[in-house]
Order: sequence, then structure tokens, then C-alpha cells
Amino acid sequence: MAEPIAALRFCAWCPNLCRSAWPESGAQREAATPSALSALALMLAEKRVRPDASVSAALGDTAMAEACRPACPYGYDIPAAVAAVAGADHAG
Amino acid sequence: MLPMLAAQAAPGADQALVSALAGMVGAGNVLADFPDRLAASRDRAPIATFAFRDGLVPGVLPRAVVRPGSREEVARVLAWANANDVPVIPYGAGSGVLGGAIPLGGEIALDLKRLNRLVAINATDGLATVEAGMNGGRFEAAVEAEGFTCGHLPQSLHMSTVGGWLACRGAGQNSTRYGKIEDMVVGLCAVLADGTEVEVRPAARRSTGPSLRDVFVGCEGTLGVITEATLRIWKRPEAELPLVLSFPDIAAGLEAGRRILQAELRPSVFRLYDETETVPRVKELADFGKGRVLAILVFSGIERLAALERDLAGEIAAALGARAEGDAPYRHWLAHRFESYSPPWQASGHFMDTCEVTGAWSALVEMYSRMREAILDLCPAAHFGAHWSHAYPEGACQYMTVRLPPMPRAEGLALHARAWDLLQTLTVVMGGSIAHHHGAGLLRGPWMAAELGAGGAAMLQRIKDALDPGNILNPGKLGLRPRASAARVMGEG
Ligand SMILES: Cc1cc2nc3c(=O)[nH]c(=O)nc-3n(C[C@H](O)[C@H](O)[C@H](O)COP(=O)(O)OP(=O)(O)OC[C@H]3O[C@@H](n4cnc5c(N)ncnc54)[C@H](O)[C@@H]3O)c2cc1C
Ligand code: SF4
Repeated sequence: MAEPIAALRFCAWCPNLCRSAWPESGAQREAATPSALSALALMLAEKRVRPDASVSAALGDTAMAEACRPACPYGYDIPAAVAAVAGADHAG
Repeated sequence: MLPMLAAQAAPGADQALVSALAGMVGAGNVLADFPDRLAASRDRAPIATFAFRDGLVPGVLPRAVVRPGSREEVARVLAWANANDVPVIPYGAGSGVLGGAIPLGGEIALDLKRLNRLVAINATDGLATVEAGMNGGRFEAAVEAEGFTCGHLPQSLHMSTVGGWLACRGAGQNSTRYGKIEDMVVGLCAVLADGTEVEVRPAARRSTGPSLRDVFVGCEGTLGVITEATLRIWKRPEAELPLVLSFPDIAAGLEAGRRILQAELRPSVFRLYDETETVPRVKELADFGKGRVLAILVFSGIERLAALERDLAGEIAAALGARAEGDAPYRHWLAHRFESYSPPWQASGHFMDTCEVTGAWSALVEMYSRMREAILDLCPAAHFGAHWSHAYPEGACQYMTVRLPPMPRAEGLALHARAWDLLQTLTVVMGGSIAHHHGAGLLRGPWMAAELGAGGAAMLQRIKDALDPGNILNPGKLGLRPRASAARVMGEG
């Protein structure tokens, strides 16, 4: 899990400089930007937010992060990092 | 400042508010789930990052995120909010770095990114009309496809909206030639707090009293919501010719900048780096003299004219001890000009921030050395680096990076606040402006009275009170009066 967490920790503080890769035809939902997803996944991994239905739904919406992936100059695969955290057991 | 867990556990948005807003913008455009509210609770102000990385909400969560799809919907939402005493924060792409988009108490976030159309390009008059929520990078790509450039190319080009550029009174990296955003706006549409729609019709210039346009340009959402802008655009330059120089010291570099600008030369890019910022940029230049400082200038436009300007500037600089250097620093800057340097530092627990101020040529050398000394006295382990960009005949922007090492949160926040106080107070003492292009947002509120003077600050508050008597539009920003319920964001331990 160390590698996905490192990616999320970087991306969470990155100002979404890949966001222009998402076409204007699809309205940008702030919570679906790579950086917002990364922050949420990181907070979940660090147990700073609870894994409720809205959190799971948000982490499952990686279409924008996927569209932005090729535009990430740092080479991160944020959808994969988010999926790794979203799929982990957060009980306890 | 609330732990995220507590914010998540608190009751969500109230259903009456959600249904009322859904009636205006459609149910799918009222987002009231925790992740949507959390995402809109921060912008890129480092104080927000310092909170987030410790699992804290910087201010409060907005009650909901509302996404209007037209100017009429913006007007409807504002009229309703005004009548129901619900505060509203316009939200572009959240790339602001002064906390302007951080909710402080009871706000809804008005996310403008559905207003994302390029309305028209008028190639004859050199104008583009664009909705406020359009992404900056996509706007530039669209005008480039027609053979133009918008000329406003901030480092945050791809992570900001056009409306955010106007709202924060921003400046792009090519501002020395093309001007700052206020020089480019020839018309706009906005909505006032009570839902009144205002149009400043595009015109090259007018002489009909104070400029209404300037009520909105720089208002950071406190006086109105900008929904559309008509901007001056330029033919894409035939040539962009770099001039990479080294100077014996920053005094010589700044003097060259002054002489170049006062000789009426207009580089599209003017960047002079102090020694700290020079070192990492000249690694590839084997014979770059130790202690010398780097300058990158670019001249653009018609090739013959640009070449002449470049040569004249080179002569002015040479007389001050400048040496021509290889192009590698220019190419590196060009490749990375729209990226951010802060994520690795924020991820590793540093307290990193930037502060851009305006100084007169006659003050800049001393301003730099006093500020550097003040920061290193405050924290000897801090990183302090600066560069000068956005040059004018009268002075330039001094852009500083201050990076405090990882330390306990309370200590880091206290030092961070003290660093800001030192930089902003020294700026005023030395006759400069506390903000060159990032705006004032929340963080700069405490120095707004010193910036504007007591009379000026009172006048701004009276304008606010007249236009927004209910104080619903982005309350508590720009040093304006907060609402009684406002959360405390700065100065907490
Ligand atoms: C890495 C980085 C580099 C940057 N480089 C530059 C630079 O080179 N030049 C520069 O000028 N800035 C720069 N900025 C700052 C920032 O990108 C700009 O201020 C930008 O214009 C903000 O646009 P936004 O759409 O993200 O606005 P937001 O952050 O969403 O909002 C900023 C403020 O404006 C208000 N607002 C937003 N849209 C509207 C609207 N339509 N009507 C009324 N009010 C509105 C908000 O309420 C808020 O107070 C940089 C930021 C980052 C993170
Ligand atoms: S995916 Fe890359 S560019 Fe996009 S926000 Fe994350 S780190 Fe930044």
C-alpha cells in the first residue's frame, strides 16, 4: 500500500494541473477531480473520514481522473491508487 | 477548524434548502453529499492544505454545492439566497491561494464550471467572449485554434477558470507585453447579490464615469458573480525569441529591468531570479559564474521587431555586466511553466507558501534584502527564494517562496503567520502593494486597511454594504466585515 499512498499524498496537494484534459462538454465536478479524490482516499486510509456510502460512491467515480491521467506530468496513476485504497478493508 | 470526522458526522445539508435550489438548477446540480462539500471546502491556499493534511476542514463545509448552467440560473439562485439570508461563495476551479473560496459559516458554494462555453470569437475586432467557468487552458486552446492567443497565461492556466482570473485580478506570465487581466477585459456580465443582472457592454474604451467593470475585476466574489467576459485577444506571435542572461548580482539585473522597460521595450517574459532560485536552474550550464544571477527574457511578435527588441535589451543589459548564456534554462522554464512546485514539500510536512508583492524599482533591492533577512532571522532553517517577474516602467512584482521545515503544527502555523506579517508589513513600509496578482482572499484581510488606508478601506466596505446589504456574497473576504457566524481560520493553534 505504500506506493498508492505516496501517490495520493502528492496528488492531494497538487492543484489539479491536469484538469484541462477533461472536456468542457462534461461539467467538472470538483469532488471527482484527481486531487479531491486523492485527498478523500488519503483521509480514508488515515481513518480521518469514515467509509460511508457517499465516500464509496465518490471514490468509485474515477472517470475524470482517468481522463486526466495522461496529462499528469508527474506520471501518477491516480485511479489505480484510489482503487487500491477504496478496495482495502477500512473496518475498525 | 473542525476535524473531518466530526464534519462528516454532523447533520448534512437541510432538505428544504436542497429542494429549493434543485427547483432552480435541477436536482442533479445540487450536490449535498459529504465528498462534494469537502472538495469545495478548500482552495489552494497553503493554510487550507496545512489543515487538510491534518484531517481538518479549513473553515466549515459549505451547506451544498450548486451548479448553475446559465446567467439566469445564477440570478435566480442569488435572488433566492438574498431573500433567505443564505451566504454564497462563487467557486471557479479553486486554484486561488489566499483562501478566497473557503466557506466560513453557512455558505453554499456556487460552482460556475457549467458556464463553460466559448460564446464567440470576433476575429476582426480581436475579441473573445467566454463564459466565466471555462477552464483557462481550454480557453487558450480554443483561441489558439483560431490563430490567436489570449495573452493571459498564468502558471495556473490549466487549473483555473476565466472568471477566476477576473475575480482575482490576476496576471499571466506574459503580462509585461500583453498586460494583466484588467487590461484585457473589454466587457463583462455579472449578477449582483439581489439577482440584478449587470452588463458592461464590450467597448474599446469609454468615458462615462467610474468604470463599472472595475467593480467586478478583483472583487473576489464579494460584490458580484461574473458570468461572462469579453477579452482582448492577439494574433499568435510570429516569433518568440529568448534572451538568457546572467548578471553579477540582483542590483544589476533589476537596473537592467528598469532601463529596458523605461526604454519602452516590452519583453513578453521578464524573469530575474535571486541566487537561491538561480542555482537549481543553471545546473546544466557548466560555466555559469558562481554567485551570478539568472534572467530569462522573451521577445515576441513580428520576428524583425522582436529581434530588434531583443538586441536592444541585450545591449542595455551588457552595459550592466550581463553575459549571454545558453538557452537551457529557458527551455526548462518553457517545459514546466504551467506546473506547481509545492506538492512534494507539502506532502513531506513542510510549511510552504508564496507571497507576491509589488515594489518600485527604487525600493526593490532593499525590499528584497530586508525581507530575506527578516525571514531567515525568524527561522534560520527556512528556505527563502525570490524572483522578479511582471515588470513595469515603475517597478516589478517580487515573488517570494518561503518554506519552513516540518515541525509541530502549532509551531509551524505560528511561524507561518509571523512570516506573512513580516513580509506584508515591510511591503507597506517600503511603499509597495501587498498583493501583485494573487488577490487578497481571506489571508490578506489583516493588511487590507494598511494597503488601502483607513479612508479607502471604509469606502470599500461602504460599496460592499450598498451592493450587498445582507452580506451574502463571499462574506469576510478582502478584509471586509465577516458575518457573525464566521469560523476562525487563521491564527488557531
Ligand atoms: C500553482 C499555482 C500557480 C498560480 N499562478 C498564478 C499566476 O501565474 N497568475 C495569477 O494571477 N494567479 C496564479 N495563481 C492563483 C490562481 O490560480 C488565480 O487566482 C486564478 O485566477 C483563480 O481562478 P479559479 O478559477 O481557480 O478561482 P477560485 O480559486 O475558484 O476562486 C478565487 C476567488 O474568486 C472568486 N470567484 C471565482 N470565480 C468567480 C466568478 N466567476 N465571479 C466572482 N467571483 C469569482 C471566488 O469566490 C474566490 O474568492 C496560481 C495558483 C496556483 C495554485
Ligand atoms: S493526477 Fe497528477 S497533475 Fe493531476 S492532480 Fe494528481 S498529481 Fe496533479
